Formats: sequence, C-alpha cells, structure tokens
Amino acid sequence: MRGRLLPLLAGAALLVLAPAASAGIWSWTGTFSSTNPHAGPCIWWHSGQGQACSGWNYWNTSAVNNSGAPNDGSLLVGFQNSSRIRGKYDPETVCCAQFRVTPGELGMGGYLIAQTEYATGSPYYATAWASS
Amino acid sequence: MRRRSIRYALVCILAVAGLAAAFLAHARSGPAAEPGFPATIGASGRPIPPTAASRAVGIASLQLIGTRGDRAFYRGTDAEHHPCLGAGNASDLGTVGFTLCSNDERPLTAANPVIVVPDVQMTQGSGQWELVRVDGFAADNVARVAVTNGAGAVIAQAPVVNNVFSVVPSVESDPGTIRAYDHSGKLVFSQSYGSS
Repeated sequence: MRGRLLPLLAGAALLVLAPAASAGIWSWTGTFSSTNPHAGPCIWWHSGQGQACSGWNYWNTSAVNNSGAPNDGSLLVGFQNSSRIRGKYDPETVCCAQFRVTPGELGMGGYLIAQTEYATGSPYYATAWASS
Repeated sequence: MRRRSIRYALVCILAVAGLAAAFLAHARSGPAAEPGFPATIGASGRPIPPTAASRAVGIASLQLIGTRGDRAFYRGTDAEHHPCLGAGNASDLGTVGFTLCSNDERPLTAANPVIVVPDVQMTQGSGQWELVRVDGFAADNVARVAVTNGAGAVIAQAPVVNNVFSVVPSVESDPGTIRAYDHSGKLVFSQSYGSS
C-alpha cells in the first residue's frame, strides 16, 4: 500500500505543476509586417504576404495575444472561407491584451480557416491562435 | 525507511511547487504598462449573466455598459479575473462576439483616447476591403466618431454615449480613416486603414 503512495503523490504533483492546456489548437508566433509571415494554407485568392492562416476546421475563436509595447499598428483577426474573408482590426495601441473574435460575430460559421494578417502601422510581434 | 522516503519526497514536491509558483507569479507580473488611457472608462454598467457562448470563449462576468443600435457593449472579466471589454449583438444579451482582455490583472491601457474595432470583409474577386461597421470604446472626453472614405468624404458618424459607439456606413466603402472629436470639436484621434 505504502509502495503505491509515492507514485500517486508524484503523479498528483505533476498534475498540479503541469502548465494549463493550451487554449488554441493552432498558433503562429512572430512579427507581422507587410512581408511576414508568408505561411499557412491561406485562401488562394488572397494568398498575400503578412498573413498567418490555420488549416480548415470548425473554429469557434480566432485570436491574437500581444505582449509587447503598444504601437500604432493593427492586425486583422478573423476567418476565411472559399468566398469571403472577414475580420476585425485588433488595435495594437492597447497594451498587453488578448483579442478574440467568434465566427458568429462576423456572420460566418462552419468549416473555416482562421487568419491573422498585418493591416497597418509598424510591424508587431504577436501570437495568432485559434481554437475549435 | 520507507516512511522517511515518503517524507523526503513530499518535502521535495512542496519545494518544487513553491519555486514554480514563485516563477509563475513573476512571469505574470510582466513589464510595466505604458502610460496612457486606462480603459477603465467611467460607465460601469449593470451586471448581466454571461451566456454559455460567452463562457466558452473565457468570459466569467459581464456588465452591460449600453446598447448602440443593434450592438451591446460590455465590460467584464475572464476566467482568470483579468479585466475585459467586449461587444456583441444586442438581441442576444450576455453573448460577446469579440473581447479584448488584459493579459494580467492590470487594467487595459490604451495609447489613445479611443479603442477602435473596425469590422471589414473582402469577397472573392473584389480585391478590396469593405467596411462593415466600427465599434469602439472612448474616454470620457470623446464626444463623436466619424468615418471618412479614401476620397475624404464623411460616410458615417455617431455620438459617443456612455463611453461606447457603433458606426455603420450607409454606403459601401473602404475602411478609410476613423477620427474622434472631443466636446469642443477638437480632433483627438485619427487612424487610417487605407493601406490595408
């Protein structure tokens, strides 16, 4: 009995100390600018630079975490489908915030690509993510 | 002997937990916020229960600041008690469509007196962004928000009431420029989205 106690305690401690599960199942971290990133399966008719796109999924959130100093820039955070891209400009003038938008807010739903793209102002370091 | 081992193991686990807690507390404190306009705006709003949809995106509490047209504006907190601002459809009170939450316990701090959240879309073949609406939050001194198109014509404007506003263009337009004015008519904010 006592021999089983130690592994149990160790397991419980690991559970307590383990970091919380990531909120997103897709993410891209880096500097958004007019030329970066150029990655991800963005919709073919708007496959420009400065975009980070997830794969297709039933996403319920598209989001950006910014942790740097505020600047004059903005990122467009939203979703794509085969006929439309819609999103909201995340104001990078607000310090240290997480911006989230839902498909319903944008009149979209179903199978979508979550996307974040550089929009205006200075390049900005941020994490774009999406959860389903 | 075995009891002593267990005791040592418990002490070690507690020590590691303490160190981890101290590290996390330090990491969460982060850098000091830049000076600016705290988004703790004057309007406090009335408590309203978050719907399941809002809880699913991490919202724990909401206070309705007010409605403007078909939009409802909120302040609140997320599940970690971080302060949030948000908005959603006024016909579905308690459901937020977008949120802006602080990464820590400090209030949201904006470099400008206005937090503008334009909503835009592009359809296949159009090659242009079209402005759908502009929602936002404003400091107490801001009285009015106006949107001009790329040609400089005012296509929509709205007063700021209880620190919030919602502007819907009456004609199809590019995102253009959003300007805000104080009660004396002085320009206090300008942001152009023409380069997107």
